[in-house]
Amino acid sequence: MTQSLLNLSLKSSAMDNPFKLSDEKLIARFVNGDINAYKELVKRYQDKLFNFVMRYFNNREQAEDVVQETLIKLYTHAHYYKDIALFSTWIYTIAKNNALTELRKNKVKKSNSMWTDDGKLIDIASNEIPLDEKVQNEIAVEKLNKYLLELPENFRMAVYLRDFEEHSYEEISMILEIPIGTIKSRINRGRIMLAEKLKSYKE
Amino acid sequence: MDKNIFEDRILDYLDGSMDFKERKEFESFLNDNDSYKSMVNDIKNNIKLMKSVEPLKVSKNFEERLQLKIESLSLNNNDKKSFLSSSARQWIFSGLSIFGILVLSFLFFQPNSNLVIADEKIQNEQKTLIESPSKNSNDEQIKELDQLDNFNGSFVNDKQ
Repeated sequence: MTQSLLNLSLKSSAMDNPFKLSDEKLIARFVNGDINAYKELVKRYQDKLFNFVMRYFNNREQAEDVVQETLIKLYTHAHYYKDIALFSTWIYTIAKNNALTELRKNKVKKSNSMWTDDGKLIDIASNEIPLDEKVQNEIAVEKLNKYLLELPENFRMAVYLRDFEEHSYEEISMILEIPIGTIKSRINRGRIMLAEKLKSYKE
Repeated sequence: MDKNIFEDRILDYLDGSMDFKERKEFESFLNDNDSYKSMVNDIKNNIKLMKSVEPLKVSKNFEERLQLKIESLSLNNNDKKSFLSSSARQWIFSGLSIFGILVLSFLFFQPNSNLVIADEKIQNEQKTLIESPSKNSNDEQIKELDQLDNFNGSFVNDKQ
């Protein structure tokens, strides 16, 4: 796979309708030398993986680095993908492993701040915003994100993959490499913990 | 219903994986316990909220940075390849040198080697003659002995 990524805007005729191709077909094409298939996979997964990895770090820069590392691994190790699992499961598993490796390298201090949609960190407690419905909703989301980050990692990632990403239990089980029964239990427990935290905040 | 059992069943209730009887039983329990009912509602609302969250987006220069990293990776691989090929060349050169020395040594010591082979051949032949003399040579020896006897006999007769 020595193709250059130059001329990113160029698309091969086979990629005229990339949305019709499944992830599995795209990676097969990439393994056979179609660089546009790789670009399409990057487009499909960069934000998803970024959101996923952000739940490990709450640090934009680190999360992007981990996602880049994951996508580079996709570039260099695409031929390792076996058609027995969904591509999404495979790539999420790589991202999770990269994130955990990175976490082990530098233990990230837990922050009380939260990010906004454009990636800037804000301190929710110090923000006194007029509470119209939209802002209330935004604050609720931010609080949700904040409390989600306070959950132990095992519960947090299970809840995130289920309720944000809407993965099936089987997929979550494969990504996190944990039995389905344990996954269900963690999701259930994580949701209850989150609800209790948010309830105490409202009170 | 015990609190732990209740909590364990929330997931099945929200997934809709309970059968009709179980669901009715669970819902009647909720109707009798406001705090549990409120907890289930909170969880439902949180799930709804989580699904509505706009996903974050990577930085604008994300793809550009990724591209640069991949290109530098490719360059490094090329460097590595050229390094490998130069080291491969070194190996080939060393191998050829050793082979050349061996060939020269063989050519230089070839006459001695032939002598050794010739010696071995002679020794083998002698060994063969001693250990298993052929039938012909036996016959010849018998003939010689007969001739000798005849000669001796004729010599004795002549004397007499």
